[in-house]
Amino acid sequence: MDMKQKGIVLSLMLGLGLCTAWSQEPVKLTVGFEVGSGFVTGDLNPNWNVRQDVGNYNYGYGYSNSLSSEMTMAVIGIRPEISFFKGMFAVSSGLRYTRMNSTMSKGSNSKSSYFFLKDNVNTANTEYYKVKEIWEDNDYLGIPLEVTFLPFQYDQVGFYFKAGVEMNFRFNSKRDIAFLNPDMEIYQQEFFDHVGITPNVLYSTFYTSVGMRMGKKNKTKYNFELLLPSTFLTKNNSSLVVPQMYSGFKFSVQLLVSKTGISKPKTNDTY
Amino acid sequence: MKKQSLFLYFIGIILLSGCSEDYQLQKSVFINDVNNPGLPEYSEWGYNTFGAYIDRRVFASTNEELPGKIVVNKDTFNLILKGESGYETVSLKFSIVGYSPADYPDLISLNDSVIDLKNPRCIVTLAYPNSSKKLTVSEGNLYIKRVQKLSVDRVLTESIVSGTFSFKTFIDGEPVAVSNGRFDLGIGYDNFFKY
Repeated sequence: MDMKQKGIVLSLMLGLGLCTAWSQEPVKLTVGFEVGSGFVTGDLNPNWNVRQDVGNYNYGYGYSNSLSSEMTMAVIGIRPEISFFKGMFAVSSGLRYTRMNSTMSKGSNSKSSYFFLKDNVNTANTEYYKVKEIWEDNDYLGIPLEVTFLPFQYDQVGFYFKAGVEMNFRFNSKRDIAFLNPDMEIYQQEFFDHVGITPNVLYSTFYTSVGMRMGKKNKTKYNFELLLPSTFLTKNNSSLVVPQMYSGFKFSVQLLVSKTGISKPKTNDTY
Repeated sequence: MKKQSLFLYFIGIILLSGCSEDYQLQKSVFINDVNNPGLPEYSEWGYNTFGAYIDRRVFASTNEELPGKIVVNKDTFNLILKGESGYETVSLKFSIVGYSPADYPDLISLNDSVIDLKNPRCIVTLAYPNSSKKLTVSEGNLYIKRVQKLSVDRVLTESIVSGTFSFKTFIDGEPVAVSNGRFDLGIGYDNFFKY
């Protein structure tokens, strides 16, 4: 992590600490269950030697002969949340599972649609493979840390801003090449070995979002939030795509677990 | 009659689909060299492009003409670059006497060779639509930097011949410099000829 990223994490932790320390109001504990999806913008990882008879690398509008690299994220998690200041602020953490899927393919779905991928092996001869698609799935398990500010609360609806960081650890990774000639499958592992890229074991992001919270007071709440363009704090989270930003949406249900009052220090008039 | 047309139509489709598999490799991939406007970047991918400046005029491959051919006679090797210069179709031919590869895989013997174009065994010819000139080279060379045997899906398909050239000569009595020449050609069944 560079200085800027460390600053973001420290600011969040400081905010969290101050909120907790200053809060003398009743504290509410809820547990949220979340699902979401994210769309990543980025470029094709240049370590893949693609013959450039493809018009454009990423989202090549107007090119019939383009290669597209796409990266998406799917998220599911459980997230206890403590809210205070009459629900205006909340902090939450928990456990989150993220699957990152990235693909590289020709824009067309035509059966004969393929591109040439060069084997990185360093010999006098050159080997191209005709490839229809490459995909990769990376599974991460992580811990988010989020601060929510809910300034607008009406009867059953509230609008909030959220900022968060998360640290995830990769526990599974799969990738596959769809060769035009299925007989080439036997060379797949050899090919990956020559490319020599493995995705990062750690994955961390800083994100902000805006959302809407619905539900009656002290009852189950339903949240829908839109992730604003957010940044990756780690690198090499996909071997196919070099991610730049991501955005997406998230839906969560929050169940009330307990509402506890923290008593204020009593003032004594006899002093 | 209708049946015949339908038959010919299907034959046409089959032939076209048969050709399209190799078409991806045969076509030119022209990546502009930002430092040398009008010329393709130097590459070793078999992009089927070439380019050079004839003085300040660009001479480069096009999509319409087959950019490179190798024609081998009994004892002479000819590398022919065909493209456009000033809206005219122009061919530049490098002939090397005494070198006669049997087929395109044998071109590997040219890997990393510098050919002095002043050598009397080398002949450089520049051909315009209505004329052809054997050039007198005062200095310069043809550098065949890399020759690779290219296999696609583990089947030998072509040889990729990449290199550079530059030389000084006289055209119509006027000294002319051919500079920044580069080529990246896929040579296979379609453009290797031996007589």
